[in-house]
Amino acid sequence: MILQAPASDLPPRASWVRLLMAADRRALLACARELGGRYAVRHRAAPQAGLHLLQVRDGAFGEPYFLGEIPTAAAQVAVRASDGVDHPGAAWVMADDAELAQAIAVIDAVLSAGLPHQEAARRLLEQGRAACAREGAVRAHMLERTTVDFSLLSETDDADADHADEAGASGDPDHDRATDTDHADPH
Amino acid sequence: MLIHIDDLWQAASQQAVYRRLLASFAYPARVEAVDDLLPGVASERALLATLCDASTTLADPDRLLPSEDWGFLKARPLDAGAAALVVVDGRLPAGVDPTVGDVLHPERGATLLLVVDALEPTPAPTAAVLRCRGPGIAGERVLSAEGLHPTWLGARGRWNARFPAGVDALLCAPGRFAALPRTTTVAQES
Repeated sequence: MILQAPASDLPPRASWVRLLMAADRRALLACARELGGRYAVRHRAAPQAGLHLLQVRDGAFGEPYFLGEIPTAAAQVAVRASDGVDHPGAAWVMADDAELAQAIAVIDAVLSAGLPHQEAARRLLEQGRAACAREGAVRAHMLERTTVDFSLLSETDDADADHADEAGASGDPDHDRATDTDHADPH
Repeated sequence: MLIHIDDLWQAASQQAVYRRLLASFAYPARVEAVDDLLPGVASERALLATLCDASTTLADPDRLLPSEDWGFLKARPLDAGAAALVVVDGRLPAGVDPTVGDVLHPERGATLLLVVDALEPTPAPTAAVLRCRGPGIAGERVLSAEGLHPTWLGARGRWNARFPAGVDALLCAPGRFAALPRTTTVAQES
């Protein structure tokens, strides 16, 4: 059997888990089952699901601390091609869902090895990419709405200062008194 | 589960084996079965699947374990002189020097899994007949270990000479096992 070379049109492998997580879960499991019917798939380690204590380091002193617990699942599989060669695949997902991790690990193995019958997996990647793009657009829009134009504040300050200067230079004592009162310490 | 996984790596089997393991240490030299829980699985694999995780260290100097097991065990491979768990072929002369801990840290003593041909609770003519005494044994308990090389008992005596430091042993035969904690005194019947 001639193996298909890993296609260069695929997104980077590091992004596959994120993209596949954004795809439809049911379609993902169906795709993995279909691939499991075509290839001999076995575990390379026991799949695990549960909580993971996330440790990070603070930015000031580099001291480690625990940020909190996150749900995770992990799977490592080997997909055997018809020539008898085992191709490894793995996934570590942020979800308490071992079945999902297994499905993504199987797809990871098939795509990274360039095995045949990967069309459905490619469609899922594309579906995930579209979903991520939609979510990215929504987030960008939300971010846009939080934008503060500090330059306007600066212009306002400048305008106030100019106005005060003009009033101070006008020779109007009432105006100058009012300005002094405005700046007086309330205590 | 999307992909089949052997019973050996399932939590339910490991919990059942763990119960037997507790019983074996509570009643040293008593033969415990695992073949009813995991038919066809070597007892040392069943015990290691139960005991190991990513925080344990394991040595397999005689390469008794299938290489695929290491991914499931997740244990860190170490030299037999430093590992917490050491699986060795008990039919060969004693050739390892496991860690025994010290008086302040007896828990650092290794647990040795000695693979032998068969274990019987009665004297067998071709086996090493061990007469065991100590905590958990009312009087004396006999354990026949078929294939156990005689040098292991001498080595065990040296490792356990500075009690509470020492080494705990698990004799592993097809389908069954028995524990020999460091508190058990063993005399071999000649």
